[in-house]
Amino acid sequence: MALYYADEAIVVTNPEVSSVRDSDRILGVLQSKSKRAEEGADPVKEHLLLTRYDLDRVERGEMLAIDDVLEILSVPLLGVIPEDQAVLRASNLGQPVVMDNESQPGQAYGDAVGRFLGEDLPHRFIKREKKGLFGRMFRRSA
Amino acid sequence: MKLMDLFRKQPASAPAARERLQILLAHERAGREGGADFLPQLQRELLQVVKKYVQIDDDKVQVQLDREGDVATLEVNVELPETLPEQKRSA
Repeated sequence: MALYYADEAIVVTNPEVSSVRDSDRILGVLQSKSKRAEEGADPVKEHLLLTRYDLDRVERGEMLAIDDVLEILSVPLLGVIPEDQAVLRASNLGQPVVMDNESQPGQAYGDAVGRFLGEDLPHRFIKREKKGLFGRMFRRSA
Repeated sequence: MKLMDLFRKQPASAPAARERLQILLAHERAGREGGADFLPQLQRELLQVVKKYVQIDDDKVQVQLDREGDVATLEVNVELPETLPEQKRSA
């Protein structure tokens, strides 16, 4: 089991029932089957990374909101990655989206890394800023 | 077109997702806890604590978790030997 020796764990979840359920399961494994759990040491430090977050759908009540997921899983939030076409594009090209500083997911991943390393950064792209597809497509920074 | 209209007028689905998850996870978490996960360790540690004060066999501490509706009951059964007072004096 790859997580056996883990000291810290970043659990990646989409705001979907199946994904949150899987995350809850893996959190259970971390809390009971990891080396730290077996030896009764300090527990594995858990972080939650919420990906594919679609603000439009959340506002329409069509997607679980950040608070819903946090309440259900009770894990500190490391970052929220907005749903964006840049992710698939980066995947297609074989270039990590975090290298794409122009894109929102790229910046959000950068923030998450910073937070993991101890920086105190506000969460971005989790509130409505500008409306309209055009504005979203051509916005270069938040 | 009719179908699309119907789709749009559907009530928000996020609350349903929330509710489904809460029921699902409550059930699964209960199943995890009810399983052999922590009970054996609890039993071992209870046994160690009791053994510090009383000489008993390893099988004299029984733990059992029962669930009925919303209530979970942890039953701990410690069977002490009949010669208890004597051992207390010597300890």
